Amino acid sequence: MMKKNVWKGVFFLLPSMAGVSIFVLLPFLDVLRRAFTSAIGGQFVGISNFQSVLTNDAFRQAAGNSIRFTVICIPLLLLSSLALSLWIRRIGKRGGFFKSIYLIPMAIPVSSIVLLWKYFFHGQGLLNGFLHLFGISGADWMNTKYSFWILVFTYLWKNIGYDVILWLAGLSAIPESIYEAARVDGAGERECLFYITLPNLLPSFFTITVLSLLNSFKVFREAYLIGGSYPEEHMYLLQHVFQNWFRDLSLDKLSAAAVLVFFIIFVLILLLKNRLQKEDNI
Amino acid sequence: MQVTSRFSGHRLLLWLLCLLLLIISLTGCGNAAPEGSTSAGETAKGRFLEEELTLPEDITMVETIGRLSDGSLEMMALTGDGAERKLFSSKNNGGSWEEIALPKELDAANCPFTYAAAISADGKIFVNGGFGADGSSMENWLFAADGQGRKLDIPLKDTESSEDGSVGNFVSEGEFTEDGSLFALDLQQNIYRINGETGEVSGTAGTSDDARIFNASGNRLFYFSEGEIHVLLPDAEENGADSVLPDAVVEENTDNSYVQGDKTMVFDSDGDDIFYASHQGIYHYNTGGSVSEQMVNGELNSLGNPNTSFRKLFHINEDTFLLWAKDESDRDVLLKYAYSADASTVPDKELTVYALEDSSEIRQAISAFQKEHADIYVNLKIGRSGDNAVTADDALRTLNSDIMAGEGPDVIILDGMPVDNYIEKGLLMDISDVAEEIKKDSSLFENLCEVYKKDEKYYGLPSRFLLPFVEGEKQAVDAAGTVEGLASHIQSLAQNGNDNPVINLSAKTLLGYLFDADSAGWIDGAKVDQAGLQKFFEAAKTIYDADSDKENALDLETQGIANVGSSGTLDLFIGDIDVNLGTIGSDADLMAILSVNQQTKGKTFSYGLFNNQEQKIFIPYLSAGISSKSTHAEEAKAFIKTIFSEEVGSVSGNGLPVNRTAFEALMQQEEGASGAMAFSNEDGEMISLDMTVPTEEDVKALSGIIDSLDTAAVTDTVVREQIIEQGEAYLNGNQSLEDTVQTAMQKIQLYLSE
Repeated sequence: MMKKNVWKGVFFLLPSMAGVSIFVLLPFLDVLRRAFTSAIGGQFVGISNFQSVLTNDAFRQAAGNSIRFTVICIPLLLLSSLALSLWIRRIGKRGGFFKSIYLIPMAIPVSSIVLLWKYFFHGQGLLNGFLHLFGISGADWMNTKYSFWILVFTYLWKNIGYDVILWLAGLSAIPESIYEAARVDGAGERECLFYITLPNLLPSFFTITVLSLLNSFKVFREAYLIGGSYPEEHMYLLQHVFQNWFRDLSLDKLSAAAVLVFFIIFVLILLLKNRLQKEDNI
Repeated sequence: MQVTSRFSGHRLLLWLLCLLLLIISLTGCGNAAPEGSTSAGETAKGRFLEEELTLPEDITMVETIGRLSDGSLEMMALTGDGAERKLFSSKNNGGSWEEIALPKELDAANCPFTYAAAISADGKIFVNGGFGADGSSMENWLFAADGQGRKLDIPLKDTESSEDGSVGNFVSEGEFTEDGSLFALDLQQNIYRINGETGEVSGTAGTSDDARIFNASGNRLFYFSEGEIHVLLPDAEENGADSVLPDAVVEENTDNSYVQGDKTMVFDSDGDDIFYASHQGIYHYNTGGSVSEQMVNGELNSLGNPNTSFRKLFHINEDTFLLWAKDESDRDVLLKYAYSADASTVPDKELTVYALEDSSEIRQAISAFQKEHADIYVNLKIGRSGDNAVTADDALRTLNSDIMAGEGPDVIILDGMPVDNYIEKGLLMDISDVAEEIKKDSSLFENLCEVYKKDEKYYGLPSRFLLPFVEGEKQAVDAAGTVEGLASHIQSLAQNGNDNPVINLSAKTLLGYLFDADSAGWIDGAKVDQAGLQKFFEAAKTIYDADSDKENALDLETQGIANVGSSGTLDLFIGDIDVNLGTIGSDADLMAILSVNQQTKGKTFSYGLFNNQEQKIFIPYLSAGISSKSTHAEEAKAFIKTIFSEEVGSVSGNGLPVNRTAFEALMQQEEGASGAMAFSNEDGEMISLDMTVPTEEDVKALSGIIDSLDTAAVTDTVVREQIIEQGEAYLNGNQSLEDTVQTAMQKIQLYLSE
């Protein structure tokens, strides 16, 4: 009976597995092959593509910016969205209004956001006009090191609503009876948060972290539309390098870099999953 | 039991749905059959093939060709260097010609030249031309089929002679309809309907500023007026109603670049059937229908050559068309298109040529190649058509996707491409053998062929080039040894009170132009000299600020190259500016520059190469390479040889030919004036400029300059675009010099470090 059910499950998984295999796994195998061959002739070149990627200044700059962006953005996003979701849960029915408000940025097309940012942060934009009122001289913010922080702000602003919804879903799964029992035992808000809410949110934490990490790659759209193929160096992300390498037909380097990035993300996700599973078992 | 049965029914349904899903998914996958192909193993047959018919040997210019009601053709032409006019007849649709009697009044000694000529179906001949020994008497004559002629007095509108005695208005084009009416177009763009017997004007057709006649056929007149193609129908009343041809016919053919005689379309008709030829091909349209049917594909023959101009189309029968046209060398040709049931509908072999930007030069090369290789279809793919917002980067990514999918082009026009990357990746084939063969066949400016030479191998060859030049008084030309020197000279002119000392270019155009002329001095492969870049921006700003009239600045497309041409030379002539910057890319550019230099009064102008201190720079154009993945390498090599041929190179266009023989042929024209232009100068006085043909010494001097060229302009579009983008902000005062240099350097360094 058990074996029959397993086959049923496999059967239902087949369509999506077929899709993933055709559109993701097979192309990735091709990328894996190209990572060890020359761009055009297809000759085997060993690990030289990986060597040239790891010694490439542009790749290192882009990887550094991308890591910096992820390290700053993900914790900020997770913490701020968690705080907001706790607050929304706390204020009860009125929270519905705020949920909608925080989701609005997701509905705004990227091109509109970029246009807005250009008006706001341009050398002769609104921000500089405002600063001018106080006698502060402005700058073309998108062409300064502050452009990175504009990108961070854009990411937080756009994704916070989505993460709030995910946290709220996690929070709603925690039975109210646990809180009631704890309060009867004399637990305060702080104890409830640290000993009930956060431990129960661990499964959601994994999903939200992975989704936030993957969403962080999408910020390239904003960076590209603002600065083109060669933006201010602090906004220069891994996708810029990938895109430019593709334009220049550097598919050897592109494939090697893609394989590297894949394995780094894959390992990160596995580590996170293992860590969370361990904590869950404890 | 019943439950089990229902459950089995559900399972069966589920299986069927899954099977259906699988079939639907798989039907989307498979390679689509190529357009026009039939089932496996079959090749569609049947195509009109082009053949150039031989005209009588000594013809120098065909004046008119008419088709008579008995099916024969009559042709009036000047022969023997224009010394003699002859009338020919052909009973076999242009296969052979025999001379017939020409009315004596039309003897070249009595009528040295004609402006308009037409032959009617019943053999009448209409001529407007210069009569008298010196051709000074402008007259209209109508000759009956028996040769009896009489002068026609056509009462044209606005016929006022100018002070110098030249006639203000005359008939420039005439066409007979079947009913004997003569339709004539005058210089003032009026179309008259003239009684073919009496010469009386019995009505007018299009009278708009843009009116022009295409053709008359049967009792229809096809003409252009107010942006639309009209047909004056057989039953139209005089002055009367006509109809506008539907979009199915018009398509892209309402080209307003029409000049006298050079028609973009020609028509013929037979009952309800209308036939027309354009650069897209020869089409059939049935009156009242909503679509046209392509009979002859212009991509496979001379029709597609943008430099071919049409004169007349004759629909001989359902299998044959004749087309009288002028080829790219302005030579009269009679082309026969005959249907061959055995020829493949589309040639069996296909050669794909890819270019980022469209150009008449590449289309002309394709047409010349197609003429020589009827068994090969050349498929031209353009990366940026101009109809959409596709950037060069987008186009290159699409091209790379095609290459990686094994559907890349055979020949790549390298202008605007990341050529160094392509060579490094092994995408470009070593075409040293082609280079050697071209060198054997013709003499080349070999110093210009080295642009894409790496490790003693040629990976690409530029077929044309442009020369950045400076024109003005000696001090200006001498100052153009460096961009800073030129800027300093222009600044001193501005400081002496000259409001517009130099040609007024927009920031983008000026930066593009100066980049081409100067950047090789401070960009060396993967290194950009920051000090050089800073000096470049400073000099550009000085030149840009010398003229404050930014609203009227010349703004050109700078993608690829800033082909400023010789437009500023006329401003120099009328005294508007003191220094002209431009590019020599054609015989016309050289002619304009030399004419101005020779005829400007009060000042001595000359021109010189605009270069940086140590290098003599040229701008490569129409460079071609072959993809190492090409499956038609031999055909691709033949195509590159065609681009380099004298036939293609000697046609005036953008860029001088790298083929020295073609260059000499291009410059070799009849000496003397080849036209004149009149302008009013800043004091309102009228001054005229005779365009004089370069002398042998002029051509030698230019050849000497070309031989001394040693450095190709930087053709890296990414670097170029970044510098233009940042420089534009600086020139327009939106960014400081320091920020401009830093930002440009940072972006270029990022690019170079990739």
